[in-house]
Amino acid sequence: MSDAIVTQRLTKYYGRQRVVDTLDLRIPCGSVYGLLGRNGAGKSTTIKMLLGLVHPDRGRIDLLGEDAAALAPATRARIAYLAEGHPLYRWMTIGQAVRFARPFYPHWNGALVEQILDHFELPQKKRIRHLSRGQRAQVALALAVAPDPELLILDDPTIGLDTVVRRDFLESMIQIIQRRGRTILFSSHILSDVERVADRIGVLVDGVLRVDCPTDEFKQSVKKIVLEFGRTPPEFPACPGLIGARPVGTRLELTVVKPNDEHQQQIDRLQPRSQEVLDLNLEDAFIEYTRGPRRALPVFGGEAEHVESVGV
Amino acid sequence: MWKALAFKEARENLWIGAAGLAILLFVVANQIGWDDSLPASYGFSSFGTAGGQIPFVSDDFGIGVAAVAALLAVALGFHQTLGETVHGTYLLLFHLPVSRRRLVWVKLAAGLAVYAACTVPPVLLFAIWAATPGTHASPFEWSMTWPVWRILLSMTMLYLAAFLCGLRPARWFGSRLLPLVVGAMPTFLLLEAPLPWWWLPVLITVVVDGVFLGCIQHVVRVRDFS
Repeated sequence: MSDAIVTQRLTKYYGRQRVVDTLDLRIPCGSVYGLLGRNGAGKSTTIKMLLGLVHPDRGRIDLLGEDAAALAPATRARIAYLAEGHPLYRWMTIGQAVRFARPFYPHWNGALVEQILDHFELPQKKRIRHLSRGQRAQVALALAVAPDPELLILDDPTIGLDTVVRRDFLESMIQIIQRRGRTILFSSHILSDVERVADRIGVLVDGVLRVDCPTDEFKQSVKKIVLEFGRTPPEFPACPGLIGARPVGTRLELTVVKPNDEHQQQIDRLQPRSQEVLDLNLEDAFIEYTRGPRRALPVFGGEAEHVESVGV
Repeated sequence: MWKALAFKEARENLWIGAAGLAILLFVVANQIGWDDSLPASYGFSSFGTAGGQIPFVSDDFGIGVAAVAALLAVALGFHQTLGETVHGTYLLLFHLPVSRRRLVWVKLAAGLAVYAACTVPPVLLFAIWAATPGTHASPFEWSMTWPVWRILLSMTMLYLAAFLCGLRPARWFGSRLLPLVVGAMPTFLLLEAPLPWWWLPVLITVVVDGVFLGCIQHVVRVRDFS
């Protein structure tokens, strides 16, 4: 299977800050890839670099087998892009927006656009400026899929939409865009969206791709180990696979990728009173992976400790 | 597709052009004296009913045209560029399967067309009126209109300077407005300084416009649209 997107050592600085750091990404044709990360992790910058809207400081990008730095218009016509916030010309009516985009694409599927607009009950005469955010997203989706693209790149497509609209939008999106052989890359920080759609995920943390694996594998490999000490917990030594170790009252919570014998030996050395291994769902795994050392305010930890001592 | 792009640009900038056209028509009407109710305090003396001055020789008309054309040119340049930035539509525009270079050429051509469509007809109207026998008690030669056409031509430097200002990223207003300051200098030079040959102001305008066009294309090529 060939790759729709390949990046090699892709790097971008804004000023002195490195927002994308030597990113090596390989997305096979036909896959649905969810690019995850917190705000400012570098997701949008990565997507904009893929599309040539932002120039990388280092590295190379191949899109549909072509160097993205010199992407031919014909290749660009095979790539759809749904930008964050769904920018459209607000003075246009929906019909004008369709008529504006149509002449640029050789394989414009007018029937599909009408079908999508009908499905969402969007009248062609309505002005974009009078649409809700959800409706704007629907129009943008219709315009994105109309050229029958081979590759769809969606930058946080559900951002700003309420829960119901988001769910509707996502289900429609899956139905509309998932056809055989079509590759989809979408960024999000709404994990439930990703879980429903993506068969592979990448997690960006401070511009570094920390995870790149099938969605199920990620969920299965990240575990939380809770150690109870009955006293102030000791420090846990750094070791491969350990994402985080945080004291919570008399407990020590470890987040570990693929726990193994080495981790168990370290745990045994600390002699905890008890130990519990917990499975994490995608959201919990993502949070553990990306939040770093910062936690809730210490006052809550203190309260928890107080409640426990009262209980005893 | 060029038609679609040009239509979009024209439609977006129509109201600015219409405002400029309306003001210029007002200036012309005031000069001709078609509307006698217009007060002289507007600063323009009339050639028609209250006449006495020679059309296109008096400074009044030239100053009026220069002021309106300058405002129109700057407003168009900024609106065409900052409008896309403010609404985030560069992402939409530059993902269209056309090179950035061509997209910007169409934008510039449309902007200049709107500028010309809104400035040339009022001046032409005034010239035709002045050329019509019996409308005013003074001589008229078409060559007398040249200074005003020169003014309109020189304002393209301000248009391109404003376009560049809106396009290029800058940290603060001072550096953002730098191209406008640079564009204003030759523009005012051409308005104020007596130049010996008729082609010299044209040459200066063409050269400065060329430099601005080169800068615009360079910025479009290297700028990040994030």
